[in-house]
Amino acid sequence: MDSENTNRLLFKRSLIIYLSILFIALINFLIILFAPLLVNSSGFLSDLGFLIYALFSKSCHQIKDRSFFVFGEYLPVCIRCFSIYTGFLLGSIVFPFIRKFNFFALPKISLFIFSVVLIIIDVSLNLFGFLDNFVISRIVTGGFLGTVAAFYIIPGFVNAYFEIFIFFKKKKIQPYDKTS
Amino acid sequence: MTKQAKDNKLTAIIIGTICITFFTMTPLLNLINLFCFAGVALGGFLASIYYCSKARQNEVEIYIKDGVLIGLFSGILSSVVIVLISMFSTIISKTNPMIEISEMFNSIFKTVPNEINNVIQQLSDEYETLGYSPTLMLTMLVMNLLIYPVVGLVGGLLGVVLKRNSKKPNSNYLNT
Repeated sequence: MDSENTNRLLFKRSLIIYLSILFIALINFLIILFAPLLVNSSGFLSDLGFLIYALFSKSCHQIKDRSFFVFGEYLPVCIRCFSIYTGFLLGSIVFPFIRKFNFFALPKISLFIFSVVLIIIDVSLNLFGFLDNFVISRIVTGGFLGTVAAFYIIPGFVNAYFEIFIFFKKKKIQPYDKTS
Repeated sequence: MTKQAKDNKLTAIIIGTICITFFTMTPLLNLINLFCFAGVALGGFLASIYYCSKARQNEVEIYIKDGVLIGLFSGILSSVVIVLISMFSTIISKTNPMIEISEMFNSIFKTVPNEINNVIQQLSDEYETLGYSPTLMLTMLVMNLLIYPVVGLVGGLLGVVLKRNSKKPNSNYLNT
């Protein structure tokens, strides 16, 4: 296979992985946003809404004062978690345009550490009472971490896919090489 | 793959499992999981960091897939271990967590449907008769198996990505 064809194949598969991640992020965002609507409906949809709340209760404290009020009910996640999920979705959307459709390149380590430190500072200030219930800081720090995470997770998955792909391809070729 | 590399991966998975179980089961510390399962991701992250440092010591090439698999298996193993520990702890302590859950639902929602209350009552009866709820344990296992491997995988991925940290695209793929 010539280099141009290989590049095209790499790009096509990378794009599929990227679109899958984008789709999952979008579905996750929509589930969170429309969970209040489901809970307030009746029958199966209401049960589904309760299931969503129960599922997210494991990953978020769901404190009412710290959650957005949408469609007559509180969201199943707090503002910070919602910002992280929204940030990840936005990061996934802008990723190909910022990275110029290079799905393999990874950003510098400092960017991720900076976003984590930022959120730790915000949580600490909140925990020790220096910054009480400051919504903007939660949106900004959570959104930033989510956006930055997308720039590591997308190329990470793309690289991992090709490494696994090559691993299995080599395994398939090996017995033939031994006999030849 | 050398035996040493295999042993390192197994050790990393065990370390990841221990870390995730510790972060999830320790009172107060388990609050970290209320931050988008940060404890589970941290377990996968630490496991893959351990693997990367061992791989560097042994001059073995670090692949992203290794971090992904270490995080994934740490998540699978820890979700089973956590359910078993939860089961034994509820049997020994003879507690009924459904009472707290019922109170939590009533505090969050304006009206809780009768179906939900019936399910809570059924589970509560299981706790009263058996000392644990097989239905809830099975549900917990399924939920953990759905969530922990995915989050552990992301943690493992981030660990190995941060350790490798390269700006250049991997040109190996072009040669295959």
